[in-house]
Amino acid sequence: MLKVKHLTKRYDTHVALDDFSAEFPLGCINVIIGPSGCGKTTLFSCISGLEPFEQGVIEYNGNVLIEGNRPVKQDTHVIGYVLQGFSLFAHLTVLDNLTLAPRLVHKLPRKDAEARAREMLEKMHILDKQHDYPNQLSGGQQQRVAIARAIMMNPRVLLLDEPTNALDPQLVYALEKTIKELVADGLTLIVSTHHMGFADRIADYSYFVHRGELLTASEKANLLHNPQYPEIQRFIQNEEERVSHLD
Amino acid sequence: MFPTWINAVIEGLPLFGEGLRTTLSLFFQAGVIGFVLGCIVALGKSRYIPRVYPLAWFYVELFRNIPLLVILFFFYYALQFTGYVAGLLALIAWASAFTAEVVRAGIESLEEEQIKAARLLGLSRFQLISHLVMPQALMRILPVLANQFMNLAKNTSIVYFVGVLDVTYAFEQNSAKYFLFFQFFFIALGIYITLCLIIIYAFRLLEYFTKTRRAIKPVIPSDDQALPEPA
Amino acid sequence: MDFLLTTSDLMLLWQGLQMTVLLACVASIFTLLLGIAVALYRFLMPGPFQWVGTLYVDGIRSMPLVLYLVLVFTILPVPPFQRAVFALATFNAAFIAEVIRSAVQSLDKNQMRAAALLGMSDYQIFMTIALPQSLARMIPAFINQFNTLLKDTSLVSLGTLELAKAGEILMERAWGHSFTVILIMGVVYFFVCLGLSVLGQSLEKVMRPWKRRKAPLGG
Repeated sequence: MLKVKHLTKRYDTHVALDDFSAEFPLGCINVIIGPSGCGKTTLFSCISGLEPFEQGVIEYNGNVLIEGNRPVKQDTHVIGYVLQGFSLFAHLTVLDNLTLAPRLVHKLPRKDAEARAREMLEKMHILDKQHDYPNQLSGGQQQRVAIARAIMMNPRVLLLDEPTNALDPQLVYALEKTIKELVADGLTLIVSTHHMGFADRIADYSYFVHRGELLTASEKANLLHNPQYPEIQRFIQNEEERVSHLD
Repeated sequence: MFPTWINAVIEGLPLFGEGLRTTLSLFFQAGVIGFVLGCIVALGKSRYIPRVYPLAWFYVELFRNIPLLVILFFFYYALQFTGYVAGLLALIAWASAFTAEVVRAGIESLEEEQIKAARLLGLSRFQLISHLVMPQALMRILPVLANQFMNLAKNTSIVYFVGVLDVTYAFEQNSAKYFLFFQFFFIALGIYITLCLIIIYAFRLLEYFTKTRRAIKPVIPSDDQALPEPA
Repeated sequence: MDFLLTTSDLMLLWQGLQMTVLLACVASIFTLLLGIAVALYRFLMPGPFQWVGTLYVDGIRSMPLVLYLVLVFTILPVPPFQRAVFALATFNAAFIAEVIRSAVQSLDKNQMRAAALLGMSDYQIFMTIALPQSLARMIPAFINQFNTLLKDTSLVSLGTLELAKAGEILMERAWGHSFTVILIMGVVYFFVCLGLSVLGQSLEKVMRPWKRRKAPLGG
């Protein structure tokens, strides 16, 4: 169980997360749903240790990972996080993007790191791109490299922030397949999205976040099917409008 | 067959050779040391090295806002170094301050997201700087850096003022001795232009090998005007 | 060793500073005028005549100022002040011309086409459309160039009594005082130049919204 307890995060006076608590079961796909600006990205930044927060505890299997304002020490790399823009290292090839951190942080010899990276790229079906630079890849390929790079550090939990953004429908299906394969390998996923169809197809558990608070949670994406909260109804309405505009 | 001044010019050439040796050795020493020092100051000024920002700021502003000649006078008259050493020290101070500003622009052009990604992967501060920040920053500023090195090559002529025999001093000596201003002037100018061209093409080559496939966009610092754009 | 300079020594430095500022101001004005004229020439001249402008601009920019000064000071038979102004203006104008040219080049070409269709001459287009529009983005670069020019005035000490020369005279006369003299000179140059560059930066801030950078590693 990955537990987030009483997490509060402020930016100056703006409260991004207000006493946020949630429990994410391991070995399955957790989907966080909410309108943009509801605090999803902030939540991920806090869980991953990227940003300090005022209050709260992050626990994994009963071990405290991060507590309150304590300096973040992530030497165990329990949490992996794929940022929204992928942010690949522009000056390094795909292979070097994957091997850089294992070599520097885990002191893995280059040969071993590269062997593992090739395995990972094979799994992601982009082994033929190993010597290309990030700018030569399509958005979908960049995303797969970013995911592979995060997994190279052997995280137990992987955070994906809005992975369907800027993906074509076919690529969304491919991503769903990739995500399911990752879970089958024993990884826990926490995915944030405002794409309802995507959430519906992959979610084992879903959580609705509104204005920095957890509104409700459910198995599968049930909270979207018979929405009892006006916030969720409004969200669904907006999303449907947005999608119809796109068509 | 040849005009008579040709002989005088040929007689004057050895002096230019001697001057060129000084110019080159000043250029290479000040270039290497100034570049390394400039990178360190740039890291301080962009806060990658914690808590030295005010110091780095002062260093840069000090040597950018005092004429190179006055810096030279400081080492020559006040600290009483020999002309060559004073010139070298002044050029190092000058080059490092200007390089620092150029490198800083490259460092600050880095997307915050990439830094975040590296931190998520657990890279230490030093690893982040040596594997991510500096390589990318330097690749982005190569054209401006070339410009900076050309300015350094030209500014080595400052040692003329403390009587060190460099190319400019050789020009003055020769032209006074043989009374041939333009001929010797164009020899001196030719030497400086050749040096500048070598620098330009060396950097182009560097750019070709590091940037072509990566397609890293160059950064032009806002306060750096008039980039030489050789045809 | 006493660190106090006599009043006449200080007066010499004061005179030098006045000369430095005067020289910088006069040379800046001529630099600007000549720079605009060269940019205008390069804007108006058809291809075959471009090489004159290119030769001047690129020739100057690949030349050490000291070398240029030595040449001008040995062959130009006019009084030192005029010589210094001539040398500084003709040297820095090449850089100003280049600043103008790149700023004008980055302008929207369609406006100039539209003006040409309205029957405006190239000269009118340059003076009423290209120059005024690119002026805003050129001002920081101009100030930067004037700052360079101000520092360059220290090099014309070959014959002109400006601040650096005044300092040099004092230092050669009494080596014991050189530390004090250099300190005074450094401080004066530093504040004058810093003032100018702060002015440039604040002008740039007005024209380009610029935000202070926070620490990238949060430390």
